[in-house]
Amino acid sequence: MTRQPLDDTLFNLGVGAPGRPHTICVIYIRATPQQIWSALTSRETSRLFFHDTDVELHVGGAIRLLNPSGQPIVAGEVLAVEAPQRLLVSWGELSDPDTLPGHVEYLIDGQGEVSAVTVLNYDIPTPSDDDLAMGRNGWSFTLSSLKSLLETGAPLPQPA
Amino acid sequence: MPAPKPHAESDPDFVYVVYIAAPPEKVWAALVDNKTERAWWWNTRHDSDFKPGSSIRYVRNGEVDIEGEVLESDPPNRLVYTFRSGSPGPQHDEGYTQVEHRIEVYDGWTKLTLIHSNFKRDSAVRKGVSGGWPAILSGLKSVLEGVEHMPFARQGEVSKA
Repeated sequence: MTRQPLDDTLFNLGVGAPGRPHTICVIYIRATPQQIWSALTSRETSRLFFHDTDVELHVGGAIRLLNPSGQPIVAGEVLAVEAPQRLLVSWGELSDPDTLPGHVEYLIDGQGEVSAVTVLNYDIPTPSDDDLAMGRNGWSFTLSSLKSLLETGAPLPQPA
Repeated sequence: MPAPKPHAESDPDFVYVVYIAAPPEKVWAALVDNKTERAWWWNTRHDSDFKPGSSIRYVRNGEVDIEGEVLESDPPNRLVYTFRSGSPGPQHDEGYTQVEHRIEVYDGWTKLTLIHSNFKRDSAVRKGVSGGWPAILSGLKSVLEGVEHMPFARQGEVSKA
């Protein structure tokens, strides 16, 4: 694995994308864009496959990810919202307050019975191989679990 | 055939990870199925006995889409083979790249990692497979989790030249 960013010419990054992503995860899900959007942005569903996501869906709104005891672990701001296709937020990890916030973008592209879901991570200035592997493994797990939840009704169990 | 010779100037490896609610043996069996035209792999059948040194061909509509040679085969953990477009064109002219499937147990489920490597700089093959692998491996996950095959609408095909 090299440290070069992935090729972003394959993906429609949309207007206002903050820069070249260092992590791109794509999965195809047998669900509509609206179902996927709702799962990603509702507190009740997001906690089943990811973290309890409390987001105000307008530009300037707050986004917080909460752990199971209700403590925020990620905080940021909504920078772009185009339901049900695109959500761009800043992303500050509260466990690591010295780090500048990055950006996370969800893109949902309906393709008939299937939708492509893409998560992009931006703005770790010089990601290490470990950063890249953690981002890839973590987001892949989240998207895999989302896919299982929407297709089979059961998410993957959260790792211990 | 040894592993392909590295290029002096290369594109980054393409790495894709997917987690599947099925045991490693079932993931392995799906990858080395040489009997079935698999709908989730664009009706491709794999023609190989999956032993090191054996040839591997992706056959679709009677034509060889991809050909290569099995380099390593360690059921149900690891499968490595070389990969080259079977039809004339720019992707064929790039020569052999390398495909590796790693299968690991992860909290009782299976983590499948695909590492496609040895691309030359500005590789047309890398562009093609970057669109193809997520669609194929998403389909594999669905099938192994008991979900009917997803009809693919318009995403790129893994070997389209």
